[in-house]
Amino acid sequence: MIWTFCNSNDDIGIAGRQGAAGIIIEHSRTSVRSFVSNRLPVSEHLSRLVEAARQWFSPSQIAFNCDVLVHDSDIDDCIRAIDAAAHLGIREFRIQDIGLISLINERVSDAVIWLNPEIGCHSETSIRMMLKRCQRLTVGNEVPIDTLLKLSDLSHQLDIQVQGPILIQYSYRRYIDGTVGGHDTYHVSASDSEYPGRKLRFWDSPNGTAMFLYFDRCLLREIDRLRAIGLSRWIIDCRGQDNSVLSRAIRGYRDLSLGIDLDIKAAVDELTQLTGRPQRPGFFNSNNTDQDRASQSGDTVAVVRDVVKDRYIVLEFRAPVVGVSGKWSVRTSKGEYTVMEIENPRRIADLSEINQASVGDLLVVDWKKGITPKSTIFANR
Amino acid sequence: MNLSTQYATPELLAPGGNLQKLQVAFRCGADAVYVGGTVFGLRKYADNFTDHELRVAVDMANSIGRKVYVVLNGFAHDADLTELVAHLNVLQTIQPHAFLVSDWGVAKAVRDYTSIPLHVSTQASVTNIRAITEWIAIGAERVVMAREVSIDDCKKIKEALNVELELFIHGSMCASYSGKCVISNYSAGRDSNRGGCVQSCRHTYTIESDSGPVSSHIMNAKDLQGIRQIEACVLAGIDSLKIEGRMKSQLYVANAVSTYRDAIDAVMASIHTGTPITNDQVFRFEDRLKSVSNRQFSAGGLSTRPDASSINREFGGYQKSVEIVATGRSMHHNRLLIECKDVLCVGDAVMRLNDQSVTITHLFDCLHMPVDSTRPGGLFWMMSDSELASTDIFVVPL
Repeated sequence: MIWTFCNSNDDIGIAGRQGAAGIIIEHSRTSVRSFVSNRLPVSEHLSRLVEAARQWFSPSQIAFNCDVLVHDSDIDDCIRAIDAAAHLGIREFRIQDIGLISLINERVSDAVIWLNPEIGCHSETSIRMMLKRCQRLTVGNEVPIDTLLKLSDLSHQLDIQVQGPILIQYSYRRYIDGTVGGHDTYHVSASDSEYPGRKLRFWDSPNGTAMFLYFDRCLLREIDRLRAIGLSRWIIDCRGQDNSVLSRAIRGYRDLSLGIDLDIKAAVDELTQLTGRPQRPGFFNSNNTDQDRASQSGDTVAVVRDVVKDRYIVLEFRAPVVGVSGKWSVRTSKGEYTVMEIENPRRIADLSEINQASVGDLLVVDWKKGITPKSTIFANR
Repeated sequence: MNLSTQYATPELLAPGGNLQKLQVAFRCGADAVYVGGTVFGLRKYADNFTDHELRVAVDMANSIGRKVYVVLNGFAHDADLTELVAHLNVLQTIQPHAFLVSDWGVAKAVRDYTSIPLHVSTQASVTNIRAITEWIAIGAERVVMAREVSIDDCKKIKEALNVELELFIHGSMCASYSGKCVISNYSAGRDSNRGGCVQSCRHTYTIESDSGPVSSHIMNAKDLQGIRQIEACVLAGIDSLKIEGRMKSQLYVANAVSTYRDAIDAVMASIHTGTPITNDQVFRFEDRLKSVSNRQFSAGGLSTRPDASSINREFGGYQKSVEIVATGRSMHHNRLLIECKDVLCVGDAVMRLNDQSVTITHLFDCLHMPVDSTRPGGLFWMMSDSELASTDIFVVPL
């Protein structure tokens, strides 16, 4: 059930000893966030990893991570990496670029394409559609449990990051290095002036810059809900961290997956201490971002363009209206809802009376207390 | 060989934050305008178009042989899709000329519920031929390439595939691959990819280093400006050149669209006649673009992978040489209704965007009562010492 990322023999040893069900191996050339700079050629590096893994994992328990966004000039590198992995018996390929789907299928006839969380599928429909093209998908960290519960029939194809850093941005630019041809890598912490104290991490490599949140995703406390959705794999990502984090994380989730009692608070505290970052569920339980979207979706009739106290209001109509005069629902610019009685509507050009409006018309009406510029008038009177 | 038939003039695609900006864009030479509806565009804080306004916009475009594309380019959550299907049924009756999408679920809904062409948004971060092929397989007719893809790469794509390509040529840029950033989701509870981006990339970041903390705008991407790359775009067969900025002012739209219109026309004339565009011409185009608020310019990824010079680390404020003070709305007899951005007084001299100066002789409020001065945000009637037009945009030099 538990899969984790490994880029070294040490990682693999920990994963094997702690009871991971599978590993995702990678090379820095084709990984957005390997947190290492692999010197060996891809084939040799992978060969050594697979050899080290033999003690614990069969090739079917090993996936190859190739999660860069691929420019056409990179395709040959990807082909070499995919071929090298396939030559070692690996059949699962983890990607975020849908362009690699056909490439991998051409090179490896029985390949399992595994999409990573950055693919941008956050709805049931999107996930179902993508799984018609691929065999496996790690759901995005922004997908809440409500959506996952609707996908129970596909749970054998879905997995979830239960532990580890949250990638919040991937750029082709090298923010720290600044060059485009350099091979150096940088792992730095920085804080946003608007949110001092939140330490964000940046991994700047020849593939670009990956930026990580100030807290880690941790679903240890959500274990009952996690079990309820029954996803087939739990992904632990401890790249760029001390081996003790990987060890502690795998052991904790393994125990829970096996029904072994675990002092969850102690485990979370330990991970907090080891990583130096808060451990939180992120959007797993709910995702309430963008809740004010609904406020834009009503049937807008007009907006208030100008207000002169005690004298007049100017309305710009965004829908045709027959019968302008009367009571209308209004949302003020402060977000408060009220009712406005429109009286004495006149054309702005010559102030002649009119009781209907077309899209784009400006009408002058009598002033009403409480109506502010940029207030919105809705159809439901 | 007749170059005039070999190379097509690319479409100039402009932002339409609202109906007025759409009209400005068409008037200044845009071939097409992209707009957001009230459902599911990426610029939630733009005015956006009601269904009625969309209908007006599409009718207007059809009457003058132009096009309107509707953006549906967020990454949808379940609730969004429920709302979207109802919206698509309305849009099918309006018949915009294309939808821009980045989410496979949204693409499926567009296919299932409408017959309107599908364009893939830059939010989908399409960077290679094979990714385009995947989108074509689900019905895409055009792909807006990721802003990290060079014109040279686009040329190879055009040689390999029968697909329309669209490239951003001007405007603000995400520092990251568009669609690969969720900073706002976690920092502000607003979804970067559903219209709620708070532009955290523009903030100052303090990096902890061995020599102490260093603060700078480490990911504040300079604005894209591709005047010098237009010819390469034409020769590469790029179908559409896109200007960013649905949230930006009418001044920005007018200035950017008219400048690129002139520049594209100059490039096509140059190709047809074999007479290179002069440096003076290029400088003039660049000066026009520099005059309106910007974060300094770079060519982004149009020619090469963007390096440190594409970031404005020491951002000290927007660059501009003019400030908008009022925009015309409509004429009544010899009076122009203006929407004021600043205080104007009788006797003030203001400049039109085309450099003509006019002096304000009279001002009236909306009840046609004389006033001495205006208020920012207010609507006023204006008279001047020269003829006015509803299309006027007034600026003052800084």
